[in-house]
Amino acid sequence: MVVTHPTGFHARPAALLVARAGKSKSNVSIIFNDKTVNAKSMLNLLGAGIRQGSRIVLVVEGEDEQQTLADLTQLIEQLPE
Amino acid sequence: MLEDFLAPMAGKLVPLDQVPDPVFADKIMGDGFAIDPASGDVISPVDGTITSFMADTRHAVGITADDGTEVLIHIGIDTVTLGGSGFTSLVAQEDRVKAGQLLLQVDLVQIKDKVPSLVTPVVFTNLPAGLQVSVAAGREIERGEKGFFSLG
Repeated sequence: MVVTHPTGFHARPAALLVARAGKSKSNVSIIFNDKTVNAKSMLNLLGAGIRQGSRIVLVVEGEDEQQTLADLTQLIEQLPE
Repeated sequence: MLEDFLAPMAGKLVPLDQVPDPVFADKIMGDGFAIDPASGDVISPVDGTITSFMADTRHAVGITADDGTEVLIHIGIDTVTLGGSGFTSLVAQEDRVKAGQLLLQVDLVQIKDKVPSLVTPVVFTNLPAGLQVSVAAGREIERGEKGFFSLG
């Protein structure tokens, strides 16, 4: 998917994403620029440097993977300004 | 780890909820404290690894301590807009750092009038739920000082 939020995954968007990912029982990672980052770690997510227009792949593996993937996809598409 | 945590900058302590940016004040990223800096030298508060550092903007640095605790030091408010101007970095992403090691030098005079505030949030982004950080508002601390905040 493509990140549309104007600041990319800076402060607030990253915090919202980490908060939701942290509630999941599944492993949640994001592949960006051939690097895989743990989406449950704020610093790893901020350090990935995901910007507006970045193309990312969301990977969710675990017992609640379908619900987690649906929620996170919606969250990233509808990140508040 | 947190008993040995070093103040990353010298300055005046500010409770996090008084930082003029809701991302920090509302503790969305986690609890912590802030420093109104007296000097632009920033040291690592812990032994750890640089896990979040943008080489182009250089306005914030995240360190994962050896015990897993994550610390984000965000120099000033809205400083991402400066595009790195006024910030000199001495480290890079994935570097191992020692507590007390100089990470960044910030030209506070140069950036002062270009951003809303120089107040620097220091946030623990993965504290266990329910743990809160408190500091004595207005107290002056030295860079490298220990034991200036409490957890409860």
